[in-house]
Amino acid sequence: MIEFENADVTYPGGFKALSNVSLKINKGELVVIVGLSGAGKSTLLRAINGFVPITAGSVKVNGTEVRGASQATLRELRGGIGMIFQTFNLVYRTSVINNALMGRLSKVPRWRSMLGVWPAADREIALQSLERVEIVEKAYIRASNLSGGQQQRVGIARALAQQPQILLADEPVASLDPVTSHTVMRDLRRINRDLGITTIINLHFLDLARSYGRRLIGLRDGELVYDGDIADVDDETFRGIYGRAVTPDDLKEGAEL
Amino acid sequence: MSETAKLYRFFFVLFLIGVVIVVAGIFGSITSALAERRGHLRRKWFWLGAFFWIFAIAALLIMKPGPAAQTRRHRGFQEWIRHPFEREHVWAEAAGTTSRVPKTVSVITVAVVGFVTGWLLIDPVWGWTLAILGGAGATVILMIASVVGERVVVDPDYQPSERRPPTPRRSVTLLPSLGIVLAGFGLGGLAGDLLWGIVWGVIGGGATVAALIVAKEKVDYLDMGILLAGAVASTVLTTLVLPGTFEALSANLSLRMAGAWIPAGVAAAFVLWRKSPSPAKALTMVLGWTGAGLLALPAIVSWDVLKPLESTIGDSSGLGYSYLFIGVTVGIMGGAFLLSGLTGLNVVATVSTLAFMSLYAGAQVGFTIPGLISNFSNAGEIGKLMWPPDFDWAIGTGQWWWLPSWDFGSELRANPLMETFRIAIVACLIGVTLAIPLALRASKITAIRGSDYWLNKGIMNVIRTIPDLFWAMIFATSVGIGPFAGTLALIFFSMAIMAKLLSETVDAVDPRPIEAARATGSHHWPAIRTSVWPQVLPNYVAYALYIFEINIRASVVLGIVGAGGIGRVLEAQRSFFKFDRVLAIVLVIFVIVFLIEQVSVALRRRLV
Ligand SMILES: Nc1ncnc2c1ncn2[C@@H]1O[C@H](COP(=O)(O)OP(=O)(O)O)[C@@H](O)[C@H]1O
Ligand SMILES: [Mg+2]
Repeated sequence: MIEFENADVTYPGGFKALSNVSLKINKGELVVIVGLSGAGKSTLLRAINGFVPITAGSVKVNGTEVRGASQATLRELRGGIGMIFQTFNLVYRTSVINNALMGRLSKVPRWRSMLGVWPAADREIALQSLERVEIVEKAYIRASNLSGGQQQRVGIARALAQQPQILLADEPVASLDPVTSHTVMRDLRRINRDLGITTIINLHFLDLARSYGRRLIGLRDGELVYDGDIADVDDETFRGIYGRAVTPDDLKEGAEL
Repeated sequence: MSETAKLYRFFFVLFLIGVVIVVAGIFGSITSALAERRGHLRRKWFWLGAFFWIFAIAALLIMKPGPAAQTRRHRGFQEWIRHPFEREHVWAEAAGTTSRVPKTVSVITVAVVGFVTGWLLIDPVWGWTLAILGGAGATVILMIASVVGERVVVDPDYQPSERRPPTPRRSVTLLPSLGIVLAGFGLGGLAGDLLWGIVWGVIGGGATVAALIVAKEKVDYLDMGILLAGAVASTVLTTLVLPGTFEALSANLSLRMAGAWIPAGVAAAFVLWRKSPSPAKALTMVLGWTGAGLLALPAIVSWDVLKPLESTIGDSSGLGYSYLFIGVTVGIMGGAFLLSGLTGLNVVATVSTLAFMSLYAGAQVGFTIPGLISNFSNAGEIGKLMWPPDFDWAIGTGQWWWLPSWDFGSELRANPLMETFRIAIVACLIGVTLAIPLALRASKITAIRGSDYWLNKGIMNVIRTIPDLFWAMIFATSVGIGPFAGTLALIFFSMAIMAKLLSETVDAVDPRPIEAARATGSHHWPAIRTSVWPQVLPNYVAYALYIFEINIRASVVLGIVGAGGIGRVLEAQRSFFKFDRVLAIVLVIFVIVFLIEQVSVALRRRLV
């Protein structure tokens, strides 16, 4: 369970990227966060695994306070939180399986990862997570030789290899074409349903959110402006999040599926 | 049961073994004394037992269970001693909090304890042996404990998909073979006397690094106290212990001077500290000052200041007025470091170091402007003496140096060309290996934190500003003329080049995978190893080949200033005015270096 209580994030420059955010995400939920670029979506996500320190209020993950947590606590916390990035953030000069194995870093002794001598069990877990996103046949190929959609699936496999309780996806499909976007989003929804992993997905646009999400969180200028069922989103809330009226374009893809 | 618990238990057993050996040793000494025989052998046993004892106590202290375990039941000493044999659930409770001290610190401490006890109680060779055995032993135990502790978490009923590709043959990593090679060289060095050269590094550097690691985020007063204690200890060692045990005068004096200046360095660091609490600056200060101490003596020897005293130095009773010179030199350097630290002007330290070094280097090679002019008139004469080159001597009857020698014993010295190669290879391997941690910590994106970056960047820059020839002179004066000095010099030389090239490459890698690795909850270095290392590996190998190339050439030159290898023969023939032989050697070297370069260039082209 993730709990924000009156959380603020002020960046070192003095910019307030999140203000007074309170929300509660239960175990196994799939939540979509939408908002314009700069609304604070990434900041919100990164506050959960401690990448961005909150400056007021509190953030609790499974009862552990993230604010002011020690490095060791943060590491332990992050071990249970998978993260998926817009730009995939793979190591391109090594094989797909080595990328997936990075998800095991917090679970294996340090000398093993330093020497690259991974336990068989952890290799198996990495392979299984590649199987889950259907990319296992590429396991021994260099990550640079994959297409964008395949790379993002490796990114998901890396997060799954952590056997996490929580998945954070920061605009996972923003660098992908529409068709691949849907594949990746379907993967994420499937993982959420099959494994019961709490999943939080940042999206720029509402259309994909409508297709895959149930609960929607709208951010605008660092403030939480909507938190509720996606089906209840009307023109008024849309304007609240995006500052403009809804157009048919915004809803098109939602209708497709 | 956690790794730490297992290890703790192991050391407890070790402690008991130590007790048994000590008791046996005492008993044996008494009986042999009664029998009026010399108790020499048994005394060794006694010391060995004492070593086990101290070593185990130290290890137990380090690995004392964490607060969770302590607060519950283990308060008193008795509880603490009983702890290793407590029931498992106690450890289970403490899991995650047991390892208060990083394992690296445990290993280093065990090695240092082994070193100090072995050295103090028996002799230096024992010290090193025990340090290496202790460190390696603790590492292996930790690794074994972690393997034993591994639990399989895979679902046994899982059906792998048919699309899963067959596991390729695991690419054999370079690491094991490299490790074996390095261990071999290390042991070879152990058999000789090379380790004295690093005594200081282990005491000063080890204490510093350990303190930094323990400190984690910031160095506090307690750690400064530790540093000081380490410094005092090493001063005692260098002033009271070493004079009695050392035969080699030059190494002895260098080390002693370095040791003697630590308190000053620490005091200065403290001043700095109060002004701006920056551990990096303070530590650079200490390192800089003691480093200056290490340099000062060879420098002064080269200026002939100590010449008149050479006969009296041997008994180490006193250095007389030359202490003054040494003191002034080191004081100036230390002062420059302090000044640069206080003002934040690193350029002060750099300039003074450079000036000092160029003066020294100039004096050593007789490079003065008037000398240059007068010597040029001789050049023509020498040219005439060179022709024709005496290949008969060089390849024929001379020193048999073109034949490879596989005998590592007596042949080693009789085979200068092979010696040159060996120097180049060993130095390259060790230097480029040591450069890895330095380079990674001297790059902003892979350093542990800001202070770590500044400290290592500073070390790297200092090493890098010192030319290879100067390294050769330092080591030729401190460990004696010969291939060992040349190897040490080239190690630093290689390390400097590699650290610079590699850290610049690391600066340019894609930083996003590092974030991804950190997001998985990884420790720092495993994250770097998996996200940055694959990105820089091809470059690293290419640089290593390049450095090997340079080393071959450099080791020829270094031989001339007394660092062993073919350069030595070259210099000898030159001093006999056998210029035809000199030319022959030069030509042979030219051909060999050219060939090696071609191979290396071809290899590098395939890599990057
Ligand atoms: N490290 C940082 N330092 C200062 N400002 C930042 C930093 N990261 C993000 N910001 C600012 O915070 C705001 C929110 O950023 P972000 O959370 O990345 O938004 P989103 O992901 O919704 O596009 C933006 O205005 C951005 O410029
Ligand atoms: Mg963003």
